[in-house]
Amino acid sequence: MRRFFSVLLAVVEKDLRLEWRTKESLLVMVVFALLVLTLFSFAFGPGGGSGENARAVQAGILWISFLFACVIGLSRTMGVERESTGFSAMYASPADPSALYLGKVVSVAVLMGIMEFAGFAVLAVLYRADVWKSAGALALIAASATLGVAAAGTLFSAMSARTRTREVLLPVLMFPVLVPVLIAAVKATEAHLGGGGWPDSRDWIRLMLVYDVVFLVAASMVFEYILEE
Amino acid sequence: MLEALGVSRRYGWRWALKDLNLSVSPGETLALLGKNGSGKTTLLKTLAGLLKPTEGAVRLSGQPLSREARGRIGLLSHEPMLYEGLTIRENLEYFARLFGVERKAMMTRVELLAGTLEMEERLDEPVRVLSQGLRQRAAFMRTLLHTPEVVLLDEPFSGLDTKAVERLESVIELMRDLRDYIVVFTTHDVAKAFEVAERIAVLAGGRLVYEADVQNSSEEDVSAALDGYSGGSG
Repeated sequence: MRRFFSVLLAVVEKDLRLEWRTKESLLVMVVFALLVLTLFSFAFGPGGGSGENARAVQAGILWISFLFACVIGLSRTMGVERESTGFSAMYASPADPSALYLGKVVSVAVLMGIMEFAGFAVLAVLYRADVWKSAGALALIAASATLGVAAAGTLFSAMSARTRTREVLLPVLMFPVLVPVLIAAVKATEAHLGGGGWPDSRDWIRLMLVYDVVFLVAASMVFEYILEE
Repeated sequence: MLEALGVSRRYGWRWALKDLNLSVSPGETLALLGKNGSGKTTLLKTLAGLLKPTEGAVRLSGQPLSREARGRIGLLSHEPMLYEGLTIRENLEYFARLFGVERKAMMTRVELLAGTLEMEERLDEPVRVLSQGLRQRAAFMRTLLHTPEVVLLDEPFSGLDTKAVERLESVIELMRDLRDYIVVFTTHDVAKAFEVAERIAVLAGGRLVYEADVQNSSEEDVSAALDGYSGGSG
């Protein structure tokens, strides 16, 4: 088990160190998410529109912007592995492929977490959403959704990384699989932004957690075959 | 012993390797020669377990190439398998952790390899700023970092200056003389093959067309084997 975590941490450290030096993925992710949120804030007017659907629209815009920004970030993160033939090096090693996969998932999740923090801050300012009142609940929702997106995103971006049409292939593979997480994240976020509470969001959060566990376990099992040349 | 048993490998409709049988004993150094596209790189990657044979099998010590067995192999391929944004030392630390090398052992080994390959002053430079020759040396350090039993080197002398070639040559000769390693390297240089290896094999069209001990062979024989085959690999 010690070796498992050593490999996992080695992947996380390497990915975050590379990202810290270049800031290629994070910068693009944050800028893209903030741009989408800002543009839609103008489209819907001050406060992100009015009426009973306003919170649903805000939650939808928020998660759509996160999802698209994540695709850009994933392409970049996996691009580093492709350019350095990192997948072959991983496959040639005796390291547990699950540890390698989970390390990549954690790296992607950390980058997404930073982007989401900025996204929620913009939501609070431009859409006048009461983010801070439900900060704990929103953090749990974001963490559950992020884990699901990172789990699926890492798997599919690794699968598509060696193909010529990877930029097109990644969203085509990833988005349909992420529909349950996206719906659950939007619904749970809407519940808390609209002043509802745990009774409205509990089942959606459970759905995301089940999805996370199922996807992480299944993807860990097949990751070795994806690393093969 | 490292064995390729009836190994064939196909890319689409093209056979890169066809029914190839090869065995290398512990302590033996084998030079693989062949023209471009003869299947040398495919064979090396198959022996390393990076490519699965379409037919046949590769065995190490009589066992199929499992994940654990792959950890006993070191491969220097055309791609350096190093992260450009990391320094050589950071790259080596990362790969050492993947291969389960303890930190203390890793540090000792890095210093030893850096000393041997004259890379001490380059260890903290990012790979991005290194020349082709220095990258090749850094990749060679990565290959030997986990003390593999089997060392597979794909054109190890390419892109190196004369002094670096001599250094690398002396390391391979040292491995040969220690007789603890199985060393297989590919080259286009017949003279170099005779200088460093104990056994020569020639690949053409994905098939093994010539195999002999250095003592029972001559550069003329090998050159004739290289020139003699005019067929494709299809």
